[in-house]
Amino acid sequence: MIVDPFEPPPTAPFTAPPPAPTVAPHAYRGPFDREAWPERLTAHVVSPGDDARIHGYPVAGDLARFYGIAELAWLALRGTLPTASERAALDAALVLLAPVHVGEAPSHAALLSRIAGAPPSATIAIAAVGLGEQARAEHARLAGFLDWLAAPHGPVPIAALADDATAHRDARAWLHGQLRSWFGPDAGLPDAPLSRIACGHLLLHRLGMRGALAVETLLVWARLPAVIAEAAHTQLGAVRSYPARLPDYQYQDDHGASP
Amino acid sequence: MTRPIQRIGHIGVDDNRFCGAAVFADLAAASQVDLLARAFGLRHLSASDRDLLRFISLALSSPDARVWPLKLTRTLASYGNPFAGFFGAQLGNSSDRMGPGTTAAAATSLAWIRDRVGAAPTAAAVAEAVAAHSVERGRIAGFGVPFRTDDERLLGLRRLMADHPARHRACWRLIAPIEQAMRAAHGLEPNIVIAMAAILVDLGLVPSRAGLLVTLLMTHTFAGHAVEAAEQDGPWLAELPSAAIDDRSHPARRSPAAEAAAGTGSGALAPRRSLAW
Repeated sequence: MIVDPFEPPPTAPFTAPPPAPTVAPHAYRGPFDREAWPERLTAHVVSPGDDARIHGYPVAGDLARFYGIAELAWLALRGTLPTASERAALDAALVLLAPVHVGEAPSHAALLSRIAGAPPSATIAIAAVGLGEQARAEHARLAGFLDWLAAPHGPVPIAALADDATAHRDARAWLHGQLRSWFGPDAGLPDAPLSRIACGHLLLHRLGMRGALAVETLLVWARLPAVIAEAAHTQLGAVRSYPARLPDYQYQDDHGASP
Repeated sequence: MTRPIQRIGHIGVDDNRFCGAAVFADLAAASQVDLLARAFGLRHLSASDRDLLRFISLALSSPDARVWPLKLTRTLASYGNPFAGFFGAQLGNSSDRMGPGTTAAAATSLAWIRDRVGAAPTAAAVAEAVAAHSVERGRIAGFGVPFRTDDERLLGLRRLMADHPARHRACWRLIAPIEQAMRAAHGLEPNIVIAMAAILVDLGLVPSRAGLLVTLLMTHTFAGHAVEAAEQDGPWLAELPSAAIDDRSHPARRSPAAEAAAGTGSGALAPRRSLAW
């Protein structure tokens, strides 16, 4: 008899094994399983769907035809469309607040993200983080000025003043006239050389924009395009083009220091 | 012009330095926890100190997808980018109302009370300090347990700490009398934040740094959700179905400009208003 080495040895007739005892799966229960929660998200501003509306106004059939982006921002934040004066004042505020030069942290960070090879979505997110932090710090720095605007007693807080009192006199004179035409004869600029940024915040204050979320949103929104545009001039991964020693950090520890 | 000094790191020729040590020489045996602690100024952890940070990581492993910061992680990751979910969501951890960021406030409060009451305070002295803190500095973070009687993370951390020598350190010993005072004055139970704050202040951490360190000690929870959600959650979270939205926005209406255009019968030709003014 030839024995096939690969033939399994004879075995007992096959009988099915007994079924494994079934183990009931654990039921993990905790607060999220036990408590009652709302079942839906609530929309307050944007109506979802193909015919999207913002605060009730159809976007495609109405807002896009008759209104601009500044009016849309006002509508979103306030729930009503602005008057002509409000729109003009908001435009002026956003333009005054828009410039962030490349040496300021939000723009510098966005540029660095390009040096580091970040994809566009990350550069935008990084710029937004930087602008959010800048807006928070700026809003806090000008808090005393905003209080002063609500109850103008004593001198204008120094944080709101321009470094060079003589600069931009013409621009301030123009804005003073515009403020009076928009908000009334007593609503011009205070008799002090306000900085450009303080003028922007004054306009937002005059427009009734209050609260960090609304004001800082407008600051970020006004500034993001210029910051991204600045970053776009840096090639992805162009590490040799970046001034790595600006500022010129020195490493120190208990054992030594870098040159 | 003076140059800014930084003490975190330097790239050298044959070795690098990190927070005062040579990476491939002094730190060759350092664990990730050692390196993390060193970044926060805790340079020499004993084995039992290292365990404390491990305890915190373990106790913070409560990664239910429905916990709000983790749901935030999944939502941001739902377009397929785990980095967006992981890092974007953790910006919210700086909150001074809830989450790991509040550990900084709790640590600051504990250090203040510790300095006020001294090394071996009575329960009455601690209660007086807690009352003074409430008046002078506001609430003490680390108290309040929503949705349940006790914070299971705190109970677990206490079990882990049962035989640990850090139980004899100043801030850990303060927790019990502070709990008593908070319960009596405000009816609030402690949560894990006050215990983590005590551990970290007792380790010598600068209190204001506690929020970020705790955030980093729980990154595994964010990472797990970011990775999984980036791979699978697009259909669920990138856009919720319309049936999941309760639309309470303003009813449909026509803008003044549209009304005017309709009134003149020239809506189709109405010029779009310019941004110029």
